[in-house]
Order: sequence, then C-alpha cells, then structure tokens
Amino acid sequence: MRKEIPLAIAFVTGFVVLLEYFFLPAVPASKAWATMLQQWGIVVSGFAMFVAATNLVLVNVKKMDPKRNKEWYNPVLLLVFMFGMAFIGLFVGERTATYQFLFTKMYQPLGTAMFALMVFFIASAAQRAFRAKSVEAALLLAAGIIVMLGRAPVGELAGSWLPNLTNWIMNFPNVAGNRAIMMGAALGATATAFRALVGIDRSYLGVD
Amino acid sequence: MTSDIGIWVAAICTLAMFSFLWKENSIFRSFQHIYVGIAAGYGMVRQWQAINNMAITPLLTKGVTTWIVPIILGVLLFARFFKSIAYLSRWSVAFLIGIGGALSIKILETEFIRQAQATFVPMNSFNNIVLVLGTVAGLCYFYFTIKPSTALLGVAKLGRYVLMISFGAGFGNAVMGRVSLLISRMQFLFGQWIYLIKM
Amino acid sequence: MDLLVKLGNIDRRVIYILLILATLVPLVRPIGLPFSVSEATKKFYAAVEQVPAGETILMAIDYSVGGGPDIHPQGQAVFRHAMARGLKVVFVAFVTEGTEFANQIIAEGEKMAGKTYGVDFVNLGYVPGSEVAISAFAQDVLKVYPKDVRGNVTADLPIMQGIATVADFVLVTEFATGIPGPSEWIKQVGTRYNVPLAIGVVTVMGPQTTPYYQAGQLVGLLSGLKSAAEYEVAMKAPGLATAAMDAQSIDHIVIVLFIILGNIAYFAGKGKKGR
Repeated sequence: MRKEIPLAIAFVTGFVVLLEYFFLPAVPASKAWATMLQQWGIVVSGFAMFVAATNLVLVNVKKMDPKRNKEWYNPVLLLVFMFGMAFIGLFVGERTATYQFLFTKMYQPLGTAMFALMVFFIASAAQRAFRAKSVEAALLLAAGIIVMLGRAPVGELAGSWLPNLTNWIMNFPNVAGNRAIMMGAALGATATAFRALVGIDRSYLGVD
Repeated sequence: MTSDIGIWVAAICTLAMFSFLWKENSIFRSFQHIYVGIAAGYGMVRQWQAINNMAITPLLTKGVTTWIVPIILGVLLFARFFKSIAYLSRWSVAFLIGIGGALSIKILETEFIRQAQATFVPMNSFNNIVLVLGTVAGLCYFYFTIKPSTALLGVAKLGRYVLMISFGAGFGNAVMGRVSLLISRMQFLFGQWIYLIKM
Repeated sequence: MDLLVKLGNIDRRVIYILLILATLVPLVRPIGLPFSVSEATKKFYAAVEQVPAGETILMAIDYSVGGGPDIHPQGQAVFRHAMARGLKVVFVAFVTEGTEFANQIIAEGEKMAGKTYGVDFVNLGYVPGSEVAISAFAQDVLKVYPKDVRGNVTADLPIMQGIATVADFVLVTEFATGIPGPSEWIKQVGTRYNVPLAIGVVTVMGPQTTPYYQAGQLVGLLSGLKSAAEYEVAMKAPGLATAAMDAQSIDHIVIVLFIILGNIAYFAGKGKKGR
C-alpha cells in the first residue's frame, strides 16, 4: 500500500484537474473540485518551504562544531539571520525599519552583487575560450557579437543596419532555433507529466 | 561620501561579494551565509503569511473545515524526517505531482500546437523561408527516434547552425543582462555611497 | 607575433579592472547616446495606452533579487505610465521577493498627488505554488488572496470591487526572472481567459521568450534594462535605466574587443604552429 496510495492520489487529483481543464470547464461541479484542489495545492506548497528550512537548520547545526569546521561561525551567522529575519517578519512587523533594513540594505545588495559577479567571469571566459574554431563556433560568435553591439545604443551609431540585423537575428533565426527547442521540450514535458499521472514514472516516490 | 549607515552596510555587502574577484576568501563566505540566512528567513515569512491568510485563519475563525485536508497534507511532508513514517510524505508529493502534472499538460497547446501554427507562414519571403526551414531543421536535429538517413543528417546539420545562431543571440543577451546588474551596483556604489555619479 | 599570442592570455584581473572602468566612466561623464524604441516595447506601451482611464490592470511581480536591477525599472516604468494614465493597478507575486519589489514600487505611488493605497493600487502579496497558484488565482482572486500585504480584507478594498477572476482585469502584465514566467502565464492565463497578456523578462530570457511574442501569444514584450530605458523614452520621462545605457554600450564594446583579441591571439598562435 505504500506505493499504491500515492499513485492513486496523483492519478485522482490529476484526473479531476484534467477533466475540468479539457472536457468539462463549464460544469460547475467539475470546476469547483478542480479549483479547490488547486487552492489546496498552494497550501501544501507553502509547507514545503518549511521542510526545506528544517533541512537547512539540521545541516547547519551539524556544521557548527568548531573541532570539525574551522569556519564554524558561518552556519551560526546563517541561522542567526534566518531566525532573526523570520522573527522580525512574523512577530515584530514587515513594515518596521529593521525588517526593511535587512531586506533592502543587506539581502538586495548581496543578491544583486552575487549575480553581477557573473559578468566578470563571462568576460574573462569569453576572452579565453570563445574562439571561432569551427563553422558552428563562428556562427555563435558572430551572432553573439552582433546582438551585443546591435542591442546597445552604440550599435545605432554605426547606422540602422546593425540594429536591423540584430532584430532580424532575434526575430527569425533565433525564433526558429528557440521554437525548435520549445516544441521538442513541450513534447517531452507532456510525456513526463502523463507518465507521472498514470504511474509509469514513479521517480518522485523514490522508486524506479 | 554618505553618512547613512544603511548605505554603508549595503556598500560593505556589495564589496564583500565583489571581493571574490580577487580570490575566494572567508569574508565572502561569511556574507554568502548571511545571504542564504536572510533568504530562508524571508521565505518563511512569506510562506507563513500565505498559508495563514488562505487556510489557517479561515479554518480557525470561520470554521471552513475543508482547509484541514491541505494542512494535514502539508504537515505530512515533515514525515520524511522520521524513518518509520517517511513514506507518508509521498502522499503530499503525489498530490502536488497530480495537480502540477495535469496543469502542465497545457504546454502541448501553448508550446507545440500554437508554435507550429505560427510557423505555418507562406514561404513568399526570405525571412519566412528562414523561419520555416530553420524551425523544421532545428526539430530534425532533435529527432532521435530512427536511425537518420543522409538527407536527415544534412537537414539536421542546418538545424545545428540555426541553433548556434540562437545560442549566440542567447549569449549576447546573457552578457547584456549581467552588465545591467553590474551597472546597478556601480550606480549604487559611486552614486549613493561615494557621490561620484550625479543621480 | 608573440605579442599577439600573449593577448590571448591577459590576466583576468586586468579584464576585471577594465570592465569596472568601462562602467564607471560613462556613468560619471554621460555621453547621452541616443537610441530608438523597439517594436515589442512600442506594443507593450500601446497596450497600456489603450486601457481606458479608471480601469484596472494586473502587474505580477515575479522577479527575485538576483535579476532585480535588470527588470525592476520595467515594473517602475509601467507603473508610472499606468498612474499617469489614471489606471488602477493590482500587484501580485508568485516569487517571494516580488512582494517587496511591489512594495517599493507602491512607495513611489504613495508619494504621487491624489493617489491612494487601496483605491489606485494595492499589493496582494505572494502565494506559493508557482503554476498551480497562478491557475488558482486566475479562477478565484479573492479566495487565493483573502487579505492584502497590509492585512486589509481584499474584498472590502475599493480597487477590488468587480474583480473576481483574472478576466476582470483589462490588461495582465507580468515581469519575470525565471519560473514562473511567460510559459506558465501563457498556459494558465493567456490561453484560458480572454485577456491581453504583456510580459517583461530579464535580458537573458529575451531570446527564448521571443517565439511567444512572434506567435501572437503576447501583446507586448520587454526584455531587460534596455527595454526599460526604451519604455522611459516612450513615456518621455528618462530615468535610471536611460542613464545606464551609455555604460551598457561601452561595456559591450570592451567585451567584444576582448573576444576579438582572444581570437586574433588564437589564429596568430595557430599560424605559428603551422609554420
């Protein structure tokens, strides 16, 4: 029964939602059931975050041992900020100065700076490894350079041909390539979803 | 230079992250942990607000008892931390898979049928020919079901070229996006922290 | 020849410093390079422009802090446009940080003369569940959002009168850094409800979102900070995004030059080996 019950749950919930979606959107009962299940889905998803948080706590408590971890203070910092932010948000108030300070003066700059670092790595990697070694690499390189120059205002200095060429790349070859990927992935995603619903793919249960 | 302590803290956070450019260091790692900590704490606040507003308050104050079901399913997710009842958490996962899977099947319409329809354009201009042949050739490149013939391999090669142009466009845009992030940090550091840029 | 080959091995720190300078100099001494407004941005602008004054539009703020600066100016520009046109804006978020970004946009709205929270704009906040949440929200707005972020009962707010499903908005706009994004919104809202959908994405997502726009599934598409700058220009109200465009140009030139130098070094080295 350990496998059968979850398989049945996935099948029945999926079936109810599909029924409303494709066949009975106008039938009130079918709509009501499908809507309710989706609203329940929101609540269950919300709990999932707390499972992740619990996991984070368990992992970091283990790492706090100064004998094993030279930087034992890092997990301490993580947990202090985690519970500090949660406590202030839930019990002190979200519109308080401290909460806003943590979000706008720490979280936002840290997150943005972390992602901004990427530009340095992209630039240095491109300089080292982005070589026109084959037709494919040359096409990739040329398209990349044209788009980089053509989408920035500086491209318009060279005349309208560069932005026009950029728009052409974006609207025709780029759409064709991305559309091919999109259509292939859509077929794959449909098959995967269907396999999970009917119980052929059971990887989410931790079994093959 | 500003005397606002908030700006100073934000500047220190930014510089701590940028210190990684010199080399991986302990200050960077500490601030990385702070970042994850705040993210997790913030996430908890958001999730709790949503669950509380939607299910717990209506259950407790208005007696809307149907909310018990998702709350129980949500709590069951924690069963994974206890070996003897870990299997119960699969019920909740199965529930989410069922709904998510069913909703995602719509992708067949939006990203297959509608995209195919949009590719059915008259081949009366160079651009339309590029669009149609490019898409078909790209699809041929991803076709693995049968052993490819020479003709299919030729078309697939064309498809590979089209994909490379797409990836090139992707690369150009990826650089562009990251540059935007760098600019925003520079606008902050040299505009709000050190008054070098006129804002 | 050796010098050319050496160009392929510039110390990465030199590249970093040059990039920082290439960003800083045009910010300190702006050049003011002009640029035109793209077709997709014009369409987005027109979609907001066509909404009759007094009607309500939806702005879904689905972006995280990582990509924030690349897309937040889009949200700000569209909101300013909506306010200038006398529209009402309902904010929702299906990415946690979206709530805070919407609050930041609204803080600007509260400083505008004659604009009031709950009447001209409201932030309903975040709900978890990604695609499932979007679908549930689209079907029954008030059930998914019984309260706004400030704890007001949503059904009692003046702005929410007459809003039951997503089809009650005259225009739906969404701004995304990832998932949920265009794919989920087109699936759950675009094809199911008779409401125009316009989407803004971070620059990285631009190429993969273009097929939806080209297929007519979106009425407008904004891609990254450049589109935000174009939107500011379309509104004739240049802001921070426009100010960033000089630096964007110079940075791109520097990166392209590095790539070209790398290739010169590669072919020079190859020629040497060949001999």
